[in-house]
Amino acid sequence: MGIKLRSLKAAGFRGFNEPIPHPLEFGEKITIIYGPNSRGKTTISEAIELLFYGETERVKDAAQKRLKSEYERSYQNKHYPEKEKAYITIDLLIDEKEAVWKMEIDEDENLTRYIEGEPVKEWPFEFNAPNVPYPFVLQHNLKRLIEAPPSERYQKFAALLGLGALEEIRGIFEDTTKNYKPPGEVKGLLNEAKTIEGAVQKYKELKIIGEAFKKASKGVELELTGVRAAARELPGLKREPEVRVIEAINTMIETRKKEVFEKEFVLPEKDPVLAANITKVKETNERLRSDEFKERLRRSRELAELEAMEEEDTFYRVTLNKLEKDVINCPVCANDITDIREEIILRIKGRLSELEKRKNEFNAIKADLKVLNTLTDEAISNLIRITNNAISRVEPFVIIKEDLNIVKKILGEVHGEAYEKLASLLHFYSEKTRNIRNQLSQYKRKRKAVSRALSTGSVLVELEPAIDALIKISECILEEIETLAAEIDETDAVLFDIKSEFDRKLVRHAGVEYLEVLKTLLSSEEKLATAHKINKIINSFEGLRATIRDFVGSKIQQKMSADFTENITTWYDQIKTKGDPLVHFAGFRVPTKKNGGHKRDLHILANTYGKELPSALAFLSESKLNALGLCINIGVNVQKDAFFSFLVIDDPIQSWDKEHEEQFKDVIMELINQAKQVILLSHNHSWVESLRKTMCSYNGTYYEINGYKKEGPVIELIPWADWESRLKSARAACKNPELSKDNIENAVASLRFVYCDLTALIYKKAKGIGKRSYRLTSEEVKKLLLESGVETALAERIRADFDTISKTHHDHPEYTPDREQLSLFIDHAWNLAKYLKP
Amino acid sequence: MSENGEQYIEELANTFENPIHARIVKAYLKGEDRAEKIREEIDTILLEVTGGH
Repeated sequence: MGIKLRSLKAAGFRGFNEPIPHPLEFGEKITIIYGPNSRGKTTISEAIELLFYGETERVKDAAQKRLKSEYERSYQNKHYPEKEKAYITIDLLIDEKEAVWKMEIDEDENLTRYIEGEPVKEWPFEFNAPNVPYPFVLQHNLKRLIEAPPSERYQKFAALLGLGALEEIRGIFEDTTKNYKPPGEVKGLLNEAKTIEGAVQKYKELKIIGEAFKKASKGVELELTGVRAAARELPGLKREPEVRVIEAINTMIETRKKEVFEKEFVLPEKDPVLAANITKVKETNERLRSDEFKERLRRSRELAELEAMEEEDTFYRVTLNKLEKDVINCPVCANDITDIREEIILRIKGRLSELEKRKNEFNAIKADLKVLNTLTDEAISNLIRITNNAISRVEPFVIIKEDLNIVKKILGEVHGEAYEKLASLLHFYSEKTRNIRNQLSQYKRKRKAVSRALSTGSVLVELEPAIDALIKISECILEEIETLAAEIDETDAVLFDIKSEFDRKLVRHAGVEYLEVLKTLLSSEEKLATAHKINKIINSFEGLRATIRDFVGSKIQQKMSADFTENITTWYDQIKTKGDPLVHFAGFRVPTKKNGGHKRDLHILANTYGKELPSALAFLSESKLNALGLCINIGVNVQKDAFFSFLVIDDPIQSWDKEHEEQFKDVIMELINQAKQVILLSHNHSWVESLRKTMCSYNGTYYEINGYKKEGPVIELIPWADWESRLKSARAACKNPELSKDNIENAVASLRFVYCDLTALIYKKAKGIGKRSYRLTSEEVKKLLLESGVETALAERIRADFDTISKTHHDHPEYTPDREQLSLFIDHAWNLAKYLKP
Repeated sequence: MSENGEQYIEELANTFENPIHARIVKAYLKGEDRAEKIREEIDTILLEVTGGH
């Protein structure tokens, strides 16, 4: 991958108010932009920077210093029309293919990217990736890199060397493992284990256990065999087999607790099905109270006639029986009834039939009474069950009322308030249970009478009010039970706290706290072993971090100590001044720790006459530090896998001495020889002139910023060199046998500019009309020469030369630089130059 | 994630003898929010150890 710049257009961005009149075209090898300070040079470099990165180093740096607000809306020119969007357009060559990338900047500094006019969310390449060198050598960045504290410098160099990914890895693992917080479930387990372990160390009785536990915790796995063995050495447990230790501890605890408080503190229990049962009783009560039920009761009164009716029935049946046997005399009065016998028999039979009918009706009423009896039985048994259940859930708690004085003593004065609350609740529950019990007795008595009446049919007259009374008592009982249940609900938490405190205090009063701890310890073996494993893992994170630090350190050290240092040194040697004391850069070092790991520091080394100095920073001059900063940036950018093929160098030679200035020219030429496209911005006119002269044959592009207006900088394209200088330089190249293939190629390419310049000058002399020489084609050159009176053969030769040179320019595969051919081109140029003579 | 970063993680994971450390390091490759993925992996490892406590 290689990206080169072809041209730049911009409007509304920083110093550019109006659109640049002509695109800034970049030379294939070098472009120099000269301008005094504050005339817009940096605007050009920042336009390129913003397009690729979406942010300039200047703003990024401000953000790091928390000054970003000062730079807000600094990208857009204030004179630019508000409704229009500022833009930067760059024509690129990506792997030799042309592309047009554009960025629009709105007034809120939102950036929109376009490729070939189509909006895109991101550029297709990740320029911010840690392994992509930053192709901008900015004056203000040079020393900042070197003068940063060693640890910060380490990070900056790691980023420069494309090792930012390593630093990112290290940073993320440092942060995540140092600040790691386990999930709630794990945290709970760890806390529980910590509490148990802490408690073991607290009791003198458990000293032997504490020591055994410490031993057990030393290995990778927690091994509690020693702890169990130590437990069996304690008084009271000596003769117990291992499997019964916990059981024996429990017995000891319970026995000693009973010695202090004999009763058991049991909390009142809630009845989960109480509401459903109460509803059942209430429903039965409603049925008992219903009109239908009462109507049935009323009918049952008729059963009072039943006895007399049965006597009458018996009488008539006996009489009828006798009448049917003795046909003369009446069985009651013994009178002769012969005449009326049949009639009497008929009457008796009629009456018996009436009685039979009535008896059937009574039987139906009796059956009804049975149903009523069952219903009341059901209501009664339900109520008794609920009541007994309610009482049994409270009674075990109420029982401790008898020993309140002992409870008070155990809770102690500190918990006086808790005691008062407990006493009042005990009183309340005790009263309620007593009331309920009394009402239930009353209810049972009434119920017996009602039940008897219902089953026998006696005292039926009083049955209805008796049942009403029964319902009333039932309702009172239910109300009491509901109040009791509500109180249990309401005081549940309070009582739980009081009981917990009481249990703790009881354990203390009984002197068995240490036994409780031991019991917990022995019954939590699995939990403790798990917590031990988890702690081992969490504690191992320090080792994990150390390994990562060493890995990253060794990678950076490898990169620093080998190719990179050599690379920087090569560049540095080119701009090493010779006349001053021999104090120079001597490489990099990532210091090691005593235990062998790498520190996250980077030291820059210097030496003098073969002796190592403590630090380059303290011993190198300002000028040398600048040169070193420059070399580091260059060194990073000329790595084999560099992403960008261009390098923007902004005002590199501030504070340099003459010797450095001269040497830096060689550095630029070397960069070009290493296929870098150099965009050089400088305020130093004399140095720029001298550089252009030295690089006369390189055919660069040169701009001068001659002024500054509201519209923006006044940028003028200046010919790289005049035709005479180019010809002389080409001649010198031709004669130098040591010159490289690249230099010959540069010299050949420069002849094309010579032909163009000479053609424009000859045409101006002949016709008085100026032509832009750098835009002429071979055909145009031939045509203008012929129109200017140049002989046809020479004009034809120049056109042919021009075409051949174009092949050089486009790196044609069939072309190889030829010294003889160059000499021929030079001769043709001198022949053409003769037409300029007066 | 740069290609370089992935290579480094693979190389780094191979330097660990402790399989738990290698597993934590490899969690870096599990997603864009790397810190979160690493924390989640540690959580999972610890919860596996607790085994339902």
